[in-house]
Amino acid sequence: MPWTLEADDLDALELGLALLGSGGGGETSVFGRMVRAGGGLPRDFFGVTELDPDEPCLAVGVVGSTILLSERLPTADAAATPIAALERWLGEPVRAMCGLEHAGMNGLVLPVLAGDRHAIDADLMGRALPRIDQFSLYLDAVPGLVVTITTGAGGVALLDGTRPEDVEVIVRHTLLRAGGWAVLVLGGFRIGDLVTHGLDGTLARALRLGRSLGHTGLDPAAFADEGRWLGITRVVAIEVHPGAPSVVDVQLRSQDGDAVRLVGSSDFGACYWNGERVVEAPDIIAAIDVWQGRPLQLPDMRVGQTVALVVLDAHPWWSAMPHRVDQARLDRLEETPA
Amino acid sequence: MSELSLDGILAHPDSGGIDLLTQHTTVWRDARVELEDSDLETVSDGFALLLAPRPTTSWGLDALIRRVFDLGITGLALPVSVAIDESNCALADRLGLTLLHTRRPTQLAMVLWQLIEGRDAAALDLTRRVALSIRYQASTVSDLLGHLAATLGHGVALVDRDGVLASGGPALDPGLREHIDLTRDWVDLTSTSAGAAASVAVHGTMRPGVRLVIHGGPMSQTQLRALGIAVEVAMPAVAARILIDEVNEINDASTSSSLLGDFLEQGVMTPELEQRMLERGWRTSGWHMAFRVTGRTFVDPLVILREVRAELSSLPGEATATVRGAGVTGWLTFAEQPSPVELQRVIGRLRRIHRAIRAHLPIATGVGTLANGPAGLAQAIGEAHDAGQLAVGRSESDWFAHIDRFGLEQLLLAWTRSATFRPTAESIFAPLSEGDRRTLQAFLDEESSVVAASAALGVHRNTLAARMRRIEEHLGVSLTDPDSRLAIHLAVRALREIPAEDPDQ
Repeated sequence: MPWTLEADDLDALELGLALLGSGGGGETSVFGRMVRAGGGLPRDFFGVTELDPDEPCLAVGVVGSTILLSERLPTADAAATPIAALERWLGEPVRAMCGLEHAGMNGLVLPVLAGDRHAIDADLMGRALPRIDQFSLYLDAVPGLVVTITTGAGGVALLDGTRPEDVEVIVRHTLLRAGGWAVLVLGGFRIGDLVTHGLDGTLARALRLGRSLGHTGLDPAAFADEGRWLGITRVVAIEVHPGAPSVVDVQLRSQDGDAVRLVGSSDFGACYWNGERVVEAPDIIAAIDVWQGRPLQLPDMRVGQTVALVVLDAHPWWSAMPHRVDQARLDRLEETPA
Repeated sequence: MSELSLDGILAHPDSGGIDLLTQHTTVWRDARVELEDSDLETVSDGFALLLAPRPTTSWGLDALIRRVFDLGITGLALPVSVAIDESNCALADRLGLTLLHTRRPTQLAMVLWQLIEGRDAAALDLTRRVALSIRYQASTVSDLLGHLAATLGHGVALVDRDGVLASGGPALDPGLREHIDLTRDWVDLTSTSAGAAASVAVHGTMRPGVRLVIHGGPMSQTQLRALGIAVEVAMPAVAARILIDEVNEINDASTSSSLLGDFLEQGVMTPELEQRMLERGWRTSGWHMAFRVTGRTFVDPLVILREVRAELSSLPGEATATVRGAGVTGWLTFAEQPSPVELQRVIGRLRRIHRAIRAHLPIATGVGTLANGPAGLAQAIGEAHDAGQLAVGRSESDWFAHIDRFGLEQLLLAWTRSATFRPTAESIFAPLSEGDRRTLQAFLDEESSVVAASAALGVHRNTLAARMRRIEEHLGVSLTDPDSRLAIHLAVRALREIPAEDPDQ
């Protein structure tokens, strides 16, 4: 049975998506306004086993700078061209759509962009992560994947069977031409592939988490089922790693004087508590502004803020096979040459 | 195995270039030097120096600090090439870990080895340094102490119960000096919160109770013991240097003493004698004023000479002093005749020098008059000797005698002749009647003796005492104050000896 997202659920969903963003994923407000204005709700979301597994499926999302997205706004048919190109290349219409990452703003792409396709409550990350080659389909090396991406001024690029690391580099270059952000569509897989190679139920989880945070406020016990409460901290310094300008080191102190660090590039990748790495990706770290009751994005962190640090368990997909977790870890940041 | 202390590391002269970032534990039972933390093993209360730690990120360093702490390390030194930020320090603070930054990791490694494993190595190193400093020619004891201080990297001083006699390097902390046991026969090791010192009695000097001290900041017992060995090794060299200085001194004194004897006994200035005197820097031309310092009981004239010579630099003109008989004879030579005021200042200085030496030696000092030329020098010295003999018996004048009656009167008159003095004197005595003035004059002329003054004036001494009290009240001064008494006496003399210009008076 599909579940239905009602218009009334939107606030809670946005809150939950911000939690799953782990400090990244972008503000949900742009797509939030489009959903409210465009009337994409109510919408049914199917589970990965509720549709014909042989049906082709595609995953849609926005990649690039979430800040530039709020300056150069997308349109409701932004995905039409890359999807049309993908269908033309595959030679068949694709009637089902899932998300790239159901965290942050990309958690709202299905209500905005799905149109008359079946929306599946499944994504390829279960949180926000910085790189394209960290999509679950790539990590499990699912064959036959095709990527289309908008290149600006109505153009579309198509990458067929390209190695994940190459997709990563090519997409980065494309973003420069496309003006900072682009719509990326990943196709060439079937709904059945999502059962083992996709992360199901992330949207429902976001809604559940958002409702919990919205209703009970900052209650350490409220996160007991989904993760754990680390504590209340204050931001004392924010520094950019000298060797890698994209890596940010947020320094905090707990109420007891513990030395705490949040490290990440586009999202929080690890948390060190008194020198002990207590959390690392793919587990999710949420820094919730204590006064506003809202999860903070990494770029919005400021010295002096008081934040509650909460860990949310990664989707069980990550730990089901050992090779997956390694690809999400922050270790690769530490290897960044100075 | 001995303990390693933070003070010890910081006090070691070779561990330079250490920044103390956080301070918690200050004593460790063990020290380890490794390339990176993965080479460390579990210890309890250990200190670790990592020469090439891997983390290049601040959070990686957090993790390293935590791993090291979990191994039982409570003191960690890292090379300055590893950037340590405030949060790293906050973490070390949180864990109670002492964190050091070192600019010279290999140097620190050697220091740690010396401090914890190689006690003898530390002593040997210091001994080698002592030998190195003796190798250089020192011209005086102070020079030798300076060499020792420079090569040892610690302060060096010669002390006795009066204080520091000579020193090299950083000054000895007075609080630390008080704790040094001066009565100890041989080595004394002293440690206070201000620092630590090793001292040893200096044998074979003329001055008893002198100790050679090597001192520094707070340090471990291992270091202090090594310092004790170093001071033992250095002592004979210092004692020998003191002896050489003393022999030189005696030599010099005997040469100059015999030259002075020749000059005084020959009576005539021969060219040969003049040449010898010039070679010693003695000038016979110009104006001379001589002084004589002798012991009231037996005092080694060389000891007096040393004390006098130390003070000569405070005197104007060219000052010379040498041993003559049982005392010290000295003189000051001026190219131009000094004015009475200058002369008075010189005598004042001589009196101060006399007092300073008399504080610890039983001496008497005599000062002669001013005389001119070679003959004058002999005469001045003769007068000084006479004055010196007089001074021995004059306890009331503090064993100081100045034979210059004539000169004093001249001085007095020169001063009271000044244009301002007489009006001042007049105004001072305005409250007094003529009778009071006569009483005051008699009292002062009789050396403030009520008995003698009452006899001179023919009044009862109670009457005189009452008058004097009244006079003191009128003048607003106390005649027991020597300065006031002198001023009043001068004023009285000025009014008596210099007739006023006003014909009515």
